Amino acid sequence: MIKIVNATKIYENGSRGVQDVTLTIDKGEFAFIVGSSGSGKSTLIKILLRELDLTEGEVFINNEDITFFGKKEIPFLRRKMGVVFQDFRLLPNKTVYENVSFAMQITDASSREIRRNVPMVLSMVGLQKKSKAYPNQLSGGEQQRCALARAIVNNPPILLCDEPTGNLDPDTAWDIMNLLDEINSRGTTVVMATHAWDIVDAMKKRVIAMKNGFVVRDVERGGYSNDDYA
Amino acid sequence: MTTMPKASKTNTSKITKTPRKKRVSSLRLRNLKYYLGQTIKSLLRNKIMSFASIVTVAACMVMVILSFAATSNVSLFLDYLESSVGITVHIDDNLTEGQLEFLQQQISAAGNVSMARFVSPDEALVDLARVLGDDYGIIKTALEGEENPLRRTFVVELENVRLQRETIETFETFFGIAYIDASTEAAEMLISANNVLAIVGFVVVALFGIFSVVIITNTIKITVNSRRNEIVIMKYVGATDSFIRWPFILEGVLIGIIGGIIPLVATWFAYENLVESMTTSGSGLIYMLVREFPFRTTGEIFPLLIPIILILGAGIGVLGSVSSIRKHLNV
Repeated sequence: MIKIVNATKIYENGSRGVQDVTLTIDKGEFAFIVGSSGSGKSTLIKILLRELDLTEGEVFINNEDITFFGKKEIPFLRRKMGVVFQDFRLLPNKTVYENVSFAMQITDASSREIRRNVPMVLSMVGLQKKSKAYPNQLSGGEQQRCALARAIVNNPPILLCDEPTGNLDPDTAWDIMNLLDEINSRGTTVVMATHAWDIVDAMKKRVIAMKNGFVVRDVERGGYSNDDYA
Repeated sequence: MTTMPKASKTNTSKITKTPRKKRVSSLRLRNLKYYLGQTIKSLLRNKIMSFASIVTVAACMVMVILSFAATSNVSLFLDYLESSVGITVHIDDNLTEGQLEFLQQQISAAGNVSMARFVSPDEALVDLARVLGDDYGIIKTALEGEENPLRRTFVVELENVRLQRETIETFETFFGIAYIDASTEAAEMLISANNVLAIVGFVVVALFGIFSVVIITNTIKITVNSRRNEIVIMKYVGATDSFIRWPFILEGVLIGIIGGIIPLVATWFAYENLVESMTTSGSGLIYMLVREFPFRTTGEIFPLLIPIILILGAGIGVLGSVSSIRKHLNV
């Protein structure tokens, strides 16, 4: 599903985002990317989203080489990936329903499809009663659930999460994790960059640890290690 | 804790490099409602800048309309001059009938002459009477018993009034001409006025065109800035550049078209009233000068102007919006 080969990203200021990273994430996997700030977690997510060009190496999604995807192809690549951020990134002047339906509108979905799918995902994330609320009327957890609904409404095979629980209290964070686990159990590949050691330890999923841009540890059913904070 | 290197997984997937696919995004009817909704919301959200943009475009368009109407009328005046003013060739009194016939042949054969009509002194007197109206009575009394003092003339109509001077020079080489009457100064003044008008019109239109593009660019930039967050999110969820760009382009087009319609309507009524008041009523020198001129009617000018103004307005709008959004799409 996701294959990264000898990927290196050097930013214009000379700092290294990721260095010689090679890894494969299979279809239906749930993988945590852990590491301290600046270790390269977010850079990796941005590389998968093709927000950043690689300095060296190659990236494949679904056996398709996306390394040199141009402006025309990137939007269609992103439709195969849902994305969730720490700061939710909801549109403040749109309701919950509109924030989610908007992700379908851009894919030229028919209004019939929109009317069918949006209530379905809102119900899945438990926001069906808040569909007319605006983001500022929602709690942090609800906002992230709305962002999650937006990320999965087009039924993408891959879900990328960049610190999705970073702004949430522990209970709410677990609500989100349970949802992510449920989405994963339906066959969606989930890649989640996180600092939340308790969640990583408890979930017993694959853990890819990064340090100074390198992948330093890659374990199946792993946890956070003390080295990951260093 | 058991660790398991993932390197082995590399071999489980068959990697192929697929060629890049060409995908074309266009304005889809399904999205048009969404685009228009966004456009209207944006125009209303930035009322002041939208209004300023419309006013600037409207000012530019007024200049275009005025230049067009003025140039169009001056060229009509020239046509009028060419067909009605012409040249009056006064014939030497001593010329015999045979010489007169030869002179007429020479004049008719000269270049740039569409018609040469002989006017006898009696006919000339009748013409004079028509022009002078009541005042003719005084002259008639003065001429009582005297011989008609007017000369025989040829009234020559020109094909092109711009070549009037050259034609006169040719006539001056012919035998039997006492003198030639021609309003050369009026013709030259109109020709140069038309040229100056065309240049001034072009410069003014170009300047206002640039102002309009700049101010529309700024209006759209404000919109783009206020919606930068939205654009980034749209990009993350897979919106194509054209999907993001269309509402902004429509905003520019709408500003351009509204900025075109307002001056079209205003100048339509203003022009109609102006021409009517100049040609049907009033007094004084201007009225005396213009009452005979054939002004272009609104029906002649506006069918041509409407598409020009609307296309120009929409074009300015597109130019302004495309240039302001370009750099924001690199996410």
